[in-house]
Amino acid sequence: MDWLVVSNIVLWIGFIAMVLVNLALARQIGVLYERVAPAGALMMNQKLAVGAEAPVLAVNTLEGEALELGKTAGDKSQLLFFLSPDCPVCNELTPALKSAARAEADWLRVILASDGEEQDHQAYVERKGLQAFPYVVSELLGKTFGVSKLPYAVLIDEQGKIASMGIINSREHLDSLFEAKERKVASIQDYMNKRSAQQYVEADKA
Amino acid sequence: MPESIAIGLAWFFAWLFGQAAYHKFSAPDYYRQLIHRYAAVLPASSAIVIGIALAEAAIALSLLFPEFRGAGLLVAAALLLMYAVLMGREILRGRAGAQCGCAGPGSQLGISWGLVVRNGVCAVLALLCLGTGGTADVGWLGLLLAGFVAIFTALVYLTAEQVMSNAQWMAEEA
Repeated sequence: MDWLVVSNIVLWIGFIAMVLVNLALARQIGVLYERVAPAGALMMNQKLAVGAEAPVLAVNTLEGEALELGKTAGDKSQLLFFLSPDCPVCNELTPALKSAARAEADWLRVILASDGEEQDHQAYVERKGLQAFPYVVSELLGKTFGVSKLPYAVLIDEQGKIASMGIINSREHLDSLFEAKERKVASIQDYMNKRSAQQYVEADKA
Repeated sequence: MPESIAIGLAWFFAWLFGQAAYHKFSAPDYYRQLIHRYAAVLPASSAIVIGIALAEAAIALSLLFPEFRGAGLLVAAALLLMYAVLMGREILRGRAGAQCGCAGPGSQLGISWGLVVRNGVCAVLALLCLGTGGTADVGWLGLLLAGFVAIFTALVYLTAEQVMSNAQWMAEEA
């Protein structure tokens, strides 16, 4: 075989190995982003703002119960949790959601929301044991609350205002919504940013 | 375009459409909702998902056989452009960042102009391959080069997708 052919083959193998290394590096960055996700849920919402009045929407649950979402009338806060039977992260989160709902039951009402065919959701509710939660299937609801990625949650306080919201990938993210409401900040990131700015000013003064 | 490179690119497209069909066959419920979101005029029906998956599988198979390669490339380019148009329309509707479904149900990759451009580039590559006959005997060295081109293009495609996904993570954090 001609040496030129051999050298070409070797070069191709080396070249593909280099591209493979690039892919591996890019993948590692992606994995790092997933693992070192911020402690607080990312807001990512172009329709709602924390502190603003929540949109009020009359809906029916899968069980036929009439609900007025966004209208809390000084009663309990509402946590609208947007999920989908096809979303793997949502499926992993249901035990954490049940546990959080039990732990915060004295001040919080958890409402599950999704869109699509009702029969799919009925089977999903039974499979995941979500019968204890009101479950709303409405495309309009997701659009009204500006939900673009799942799982997503919006916490509405007792006065019917948006207390906090964000993408929920873990129990920690879910708790960060409650924490943000308690501390009266838009998000935990916001709180951390303000705190680090404060520390910076204090260090500067010293 | 040299024959070997055209064959390599055809193999790459066969992998791409084979993978797309596999994703749809393995998660029909996810794609049922997704297709309904992209085109609300279509009902959220499993038959549509299976139809698209079968079409993609047929494209993948046709690209492996020289006699059908031309037709396969033409349909592949048309489908890639159609997906690009649908994604562009979603962005213009203010739904950038919504799950695109390009890399399977487990991926968090959102719709972006980068993906529209990527689909456009792939469609142009498919059309460029049409210029060659695709049936000439290129010998074993030509086939080896085609194999390298296919692997290289697939890796660049995956890397580009990962880089876009990373960019979306970074933009969310900013």
